[in-house]
Amino acid sequence: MKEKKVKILNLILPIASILAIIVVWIVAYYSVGNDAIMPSFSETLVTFFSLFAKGEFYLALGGTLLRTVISFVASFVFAFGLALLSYKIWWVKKILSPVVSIVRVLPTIAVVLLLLVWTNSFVAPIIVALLVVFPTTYTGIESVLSSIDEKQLEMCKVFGVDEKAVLKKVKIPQILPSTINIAGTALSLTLKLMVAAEVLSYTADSIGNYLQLAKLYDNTVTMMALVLVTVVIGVIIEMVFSLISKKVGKWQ
Amino acid sequence: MITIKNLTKKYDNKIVFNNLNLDIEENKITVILGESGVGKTTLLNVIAGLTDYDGEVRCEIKPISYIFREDRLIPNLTVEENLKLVIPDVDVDAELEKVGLQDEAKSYPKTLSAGMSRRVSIARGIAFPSKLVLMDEPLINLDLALKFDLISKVKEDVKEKGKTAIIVTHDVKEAVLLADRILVLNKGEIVKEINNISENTEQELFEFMININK
Repeated sequence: MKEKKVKILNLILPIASILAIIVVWIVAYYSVGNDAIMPSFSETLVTFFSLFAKGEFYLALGGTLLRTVISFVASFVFAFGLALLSYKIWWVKKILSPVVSIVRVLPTIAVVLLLLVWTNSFVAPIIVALLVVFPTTYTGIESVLSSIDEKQLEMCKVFGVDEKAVLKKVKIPQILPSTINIAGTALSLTLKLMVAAEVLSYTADSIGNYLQLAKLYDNTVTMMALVLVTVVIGVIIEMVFSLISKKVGKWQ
Repeated sequence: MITIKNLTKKYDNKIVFNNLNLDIEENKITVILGESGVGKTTLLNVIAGLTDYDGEVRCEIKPISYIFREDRLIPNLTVEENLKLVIPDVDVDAELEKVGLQDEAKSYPKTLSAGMSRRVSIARGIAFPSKLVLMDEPLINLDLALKFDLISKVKEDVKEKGKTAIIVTHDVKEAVLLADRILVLNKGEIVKEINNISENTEQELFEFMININK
């Protein structure tokens, strides 16, 4: 009975929180009373769907997603590789610790501006998102690797379980669910940062540039619709990764 | 034969063993009896090669299986997969039947009670084709009836397969029921040795343990 109640609440509560956001939006719309500042929810929704009828929007969306994937893959591979080295070799962790702290506090906008001097508007957002996402991903994966129970590895050693089997049946399955969760969060964060960096970089064929143009023409409803596009994609990414994580971590 | 000569082991500034000398005979169940914190687990870890030490430890009896104090089951593997990880050709049903868990082969460790997990750990330790079995408080978390049943099964397994067993426990009754030889460990030294277990051994040991630190 209690389990059933929890299941129902698990379904209802997220829907209720989304509805609450929409209610806040509607209240804000009527309070402001100016479409140019705060467009209505329904108008934003119409603009949101109309975006998908435009060829140039797909070009912008494709460009942003391509840069997001490149940045995410580079940052994830980099973070995973270094976290693995830190887990295996204690002095690598000591060396990386201050580097990661410095990268974490780098001022994003200053980095974008510098990268625009050094590179171009296509590459700059990729590197910015990579630099911002890397420390979080690195720290997350490092802590996941550290959570592998040494006592279980000791047991495998005593019983002579070969290294390949330990990796395949003990280490990888234990780190996989959390790693997938971290990857989902990192990918949606990369998308968010990518759009921000594209705005600052005036990157051609990008959601950021689309936003910049909408701002130029005071087209608030398009701006809100573009934000909605980013939010929806980000939420879908996190949901998909979370589902995969739950599937591979069914033993938890 | 396992020969331990001048074994010295420290954890930071705490000395666990200072020149401990000990011989463990083959094909016997040796029980190391002692209070908590006297170094019983450390001694097993030294024999298993899981911790560093000073001195000489020669263990000619191999392979080793170890029933750890914690169950150390792999949480992402079912009971069956846990057994197959260490013994790929194990007869899962037969081994689980010995510990009364034949219906739990497909269960994950998180769904088992502490006592059930303990029994899986015992099944793994017994089923492994070893010559030497190390057991660290193997019967902890088990109810009395099951405890006695497992004591006879452990003894049977060791005797039938000609294994050597070293069992550490703080429980005098358990020690008397399991052992061919009992060694009492206190302050890093063997302070009493009993080679012939008789009807009076339990009482003798109770009295000895009560007065051990007086």
